[in-house]
Amino acid sequence: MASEGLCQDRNNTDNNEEADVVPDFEPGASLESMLVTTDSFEELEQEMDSSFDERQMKESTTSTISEIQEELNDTTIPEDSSSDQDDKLMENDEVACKNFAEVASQLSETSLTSNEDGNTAATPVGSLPEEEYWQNPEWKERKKHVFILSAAGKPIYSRYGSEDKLVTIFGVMQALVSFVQTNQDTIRSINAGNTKFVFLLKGPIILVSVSRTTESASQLVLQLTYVYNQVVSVLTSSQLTRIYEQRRNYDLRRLLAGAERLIDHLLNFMEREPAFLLGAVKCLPLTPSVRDSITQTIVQTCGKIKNLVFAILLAKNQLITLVRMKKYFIHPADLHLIFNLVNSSESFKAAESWTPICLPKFDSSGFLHGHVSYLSDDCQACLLLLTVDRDVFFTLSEAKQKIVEKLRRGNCLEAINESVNRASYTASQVGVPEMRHFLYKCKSTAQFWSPALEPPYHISEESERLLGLYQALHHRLHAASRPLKLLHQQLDKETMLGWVSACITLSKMAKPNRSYATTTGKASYMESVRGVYWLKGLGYC
Amino acid sequence: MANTPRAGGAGAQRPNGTVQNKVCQFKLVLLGESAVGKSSLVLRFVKGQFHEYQESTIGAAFLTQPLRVEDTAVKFEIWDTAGQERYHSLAPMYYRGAQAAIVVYDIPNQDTFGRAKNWVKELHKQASPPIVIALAGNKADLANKRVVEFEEAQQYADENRLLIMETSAKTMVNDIFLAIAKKLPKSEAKGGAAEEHRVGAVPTQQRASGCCK
Repeated sequence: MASEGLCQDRNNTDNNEEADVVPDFEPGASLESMLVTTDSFEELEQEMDSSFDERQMKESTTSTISEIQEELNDTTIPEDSSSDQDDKLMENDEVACKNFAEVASQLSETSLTSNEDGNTAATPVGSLPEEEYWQNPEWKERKKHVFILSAAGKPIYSRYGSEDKLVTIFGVMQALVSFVQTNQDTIRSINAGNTKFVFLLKGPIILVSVSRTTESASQLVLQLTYVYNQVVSVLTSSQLTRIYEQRRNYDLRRLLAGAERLIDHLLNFMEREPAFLLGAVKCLPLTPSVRDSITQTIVQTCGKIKNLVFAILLAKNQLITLVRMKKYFIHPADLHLIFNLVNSSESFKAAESWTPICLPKFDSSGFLHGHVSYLSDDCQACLLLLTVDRDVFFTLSEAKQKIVEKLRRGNCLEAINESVNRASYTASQVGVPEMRHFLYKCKSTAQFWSPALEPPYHISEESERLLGLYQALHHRLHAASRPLKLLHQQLDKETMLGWVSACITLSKMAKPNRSYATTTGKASYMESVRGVYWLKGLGYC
Repeated sequence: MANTPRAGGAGAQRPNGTVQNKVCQFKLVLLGESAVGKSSLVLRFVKGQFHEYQESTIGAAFLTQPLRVEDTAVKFEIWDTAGQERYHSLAPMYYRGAQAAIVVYDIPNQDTFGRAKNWVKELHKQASPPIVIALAGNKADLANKRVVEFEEAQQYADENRLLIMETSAKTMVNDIFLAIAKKLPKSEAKGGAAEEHRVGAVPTQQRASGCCK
């Protein structure tokens, strides 16, 4: 999505809200959000509707980064002339299924769902010849595989197992894609028994998810989009396009070396975190005055650093505060990639880092440069200062020292530590009897809140099942053909209520046999704790 | 502006202002193929730590370490760069203006030695002279898997006027930093050069094209 469009969209929403928001109606609501507010399903529709060419055109004609640089330096940055895209990879949006039902079932038999081969199960892992690696029972039983390959069929990434040993399977995937392409069509997904094969074609690369989970095809596409964004975050889309323009047969693993862990971590992260599903972020609970003073400290310290675009402070997967350049917003999807980067990099704890980061939603064509560091040994909150100027490390390093000193004097570090170490609120504390868990998303701020997982969801199997239920509920509520506002479902083990209003999405789990009438009192609770859970302050640099 | 103490630098200054107590700051950059142990060397030197599994560096990490050499306080400002190919184009940002560089290879891997030679070539061509370059044959503890002979490396080092040392981040790394510190000019003017050539100070012309596309 073009960055200019972002601001525009956002402004529109702002205007709407000024008229619409009734304080009691949307707990946590704010007239101004620091995040671009979208829903994952909206993203998806966009993904499905716009062709790669269109998006590429938009992306390359409006580079947010050069815009900022031009504005601030008064110098003209030479335009990247990558705007004419010749690849016509996605031409038709129809799902083509009939013609290759045969091929599909072959694929599913050979790769994942086949249990007939009794003898392979007995073969010890590791002793299989390379071409039969995919017969390895441990590999076959994985619930969700994710592959990345080039349009030419070169392996780039496999979630499990070495890509080199899976060349045959990569070949089959590429064959399927190009087979459908010859009919001016695009392959989207294949259903074979309980296995879904989902394809996402993104310019020069193909992403495939092979899943036996209950997630819908569109949710799998969303995950693949995140994986693609992670790749872009490491390389930028312009570099990606350029490489394959120069050499169609390029082995992208050379450039992605060391970044596999980010993709691995992201995939695991998405299986645990509802944030991705909701297209929202969670904030670290802090009293409004503390959060304000943290925000103000950053604003005052960084206000004069002219090239700073975003300052982000986070801890334990939760946002503490976000300061941004007045004109620019950050997209939750970009924040999720930042959370993923911080979570998967222990090395940020050892030293100050200076790292190029591309935020695909902000500007997929270029890098921001991030000063990344933890506040101090005794406060494990991570501060990212993102700039368009790659030469200001020491300016930012000094700013960070000042921020830490001021926060320490204002006892803010203690407050952050306290919140990080405090046990999270539980659903039972909300005071709605029998409610086990809930997800609450405040649409206007793109933030969500959920209580700690209590029994029976405290074990990982059950928490995964819970997320699965939420995914199914979310899918039903936002089904493109028939979106729902209220959904009450009686399941074997629990009762679910999903409620979407103009500005909120509330999904909750209760014990079986509960009428939903009593659960609507929840919103008033959320209102009573507003401020503590939501980040609403305005921080401009 | 020479030796102006910055945040963190002030603490290294001792109260009685004799000649002995000046602090020379030197910018030192680590270069080399990925996974040869650059971060491990630095972490051992600065924090005395060693992690069997050290994740790959993203971008570059900045650390400082004071050191005492023959009555002179030296402070290393260390840039530990990522070795992956995609970061290669950023390397000049770190070695530009550096007074010292450690080019690292690991002794069980011939390719990394070849890569190290390329780095040395690039430094000779592009870095700001006079730069002290040290070649570090890391993972010396894996002697039984040795592929790069010390004699071979030493000959190459002699030909190219490099310091050479084999290191193991598991046990010993301080010697190479000490050797570099000894070789660095300790006059105030030189030491202060660190200030002029920091990442933060690049000629305006370069800054204009500073957007990494």
